[in-house]
Amino acid sequence: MKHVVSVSLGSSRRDHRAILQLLDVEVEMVRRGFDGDVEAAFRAIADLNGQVDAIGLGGLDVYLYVAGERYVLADGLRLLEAAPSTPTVDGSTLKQTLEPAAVRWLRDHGPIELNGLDVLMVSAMDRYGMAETLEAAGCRVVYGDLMFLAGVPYPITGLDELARIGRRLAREMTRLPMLYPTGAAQDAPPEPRFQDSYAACAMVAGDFHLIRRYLPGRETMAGKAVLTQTTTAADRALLAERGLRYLFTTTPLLDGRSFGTNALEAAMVAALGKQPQDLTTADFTGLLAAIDYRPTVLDLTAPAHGSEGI
Amino acid sequence: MVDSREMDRVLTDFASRFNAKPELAKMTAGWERTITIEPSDAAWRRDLRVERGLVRTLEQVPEKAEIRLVGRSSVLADIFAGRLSPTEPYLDGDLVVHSSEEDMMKLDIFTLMVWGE
Repeated sequence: MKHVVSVSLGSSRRDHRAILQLLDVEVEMVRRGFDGDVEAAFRAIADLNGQVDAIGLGGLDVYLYVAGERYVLADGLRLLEAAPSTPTVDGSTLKQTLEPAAVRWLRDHGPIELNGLDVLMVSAMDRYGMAETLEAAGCRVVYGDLMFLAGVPYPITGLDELARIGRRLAREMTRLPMLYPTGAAQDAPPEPRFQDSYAACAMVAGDFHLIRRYLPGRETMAGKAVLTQTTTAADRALLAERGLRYLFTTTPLLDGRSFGTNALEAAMVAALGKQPQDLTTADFTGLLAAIDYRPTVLDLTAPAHGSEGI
Repeated sequence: MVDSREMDRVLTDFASRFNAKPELAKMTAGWERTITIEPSDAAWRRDLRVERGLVRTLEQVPEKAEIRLVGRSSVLADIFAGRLSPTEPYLDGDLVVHSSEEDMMKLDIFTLMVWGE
């Protein structure tokens, strides 16, 4: 059996352990949250060095891909380098394959028409592939990177503008503490902000912690959809209580459980016995085919809302 | 060391570039702040006011400033002249920013937007 640990800056309340079959290999996956404590996460990764087959980094990105450029986040890189003998990944490479595949599936099989849909994408610099695929599907997308990550009330109105601003700011934004909620902030009640942008869209897309942080009430959100990575039962209850209709999650369900892309990419590295830099697009598409990947579609007006995430 | 006259030229140029960018007016909508620029190696100080999407220098010393930037005069001048990103000296400890974290981030972003490509 292979052993993988996902070290997350997110809440320890989401800690989890699961064993799954991946590409004919049994993989034990453990998620450990460090409640926003970067130093504790660093020590944990250093302790895991050489003890497990792969490590995933959750709750932060190491790499951002904007308009063909790769930017490296300083905090993330430091964590990535804390385990020099063990392959360590942040899931961003898998995300570049997985999320476009999810959007294409929703375009072809989803319950709402994407062509012409107004979408608020809370941040796109961390998931540029999703942004490109939503626009290719005909969505009218407003990007909230400056709003949700820096508090600047400026909606970015297209990929061209996002790329232009990204070229100016991404390198600096990767070096500064952003307003990304970690630890206990992920469990704090939403404080509604940017309500006009939420109100103007039919679907909110992107990182769930950012979506949740400023989520308005039922009067603004009723009937809308959310497209995000992974959610917990409490998250789904919150969305249902605020009247949202659909929840689309991009992270795959394996053995009835949802896994973050960092955990899954680490499991792939362990199962294939490859170094992260040797993983190819074919490896990722092969994995998605092997697990018959499709996003999860939940009708939040139905009584049950699925499973816990890792 | 940068003298006050050179800093005045830098700030005048910074304000005119800032005020010529309509997207900065939108980004700073509702963000009204006084910024004090305080060199650690010179006796002068300067104050900027961001209001209604525009930047102007203040003639009189304000009662309070929400943001205070402290560093060597050459570092402060280089930041407002676009020769140095604020992040670099901030991380090196050559620039001290007294403000909320969110204000610090916004000021950084607005400065980069003035001088970016």
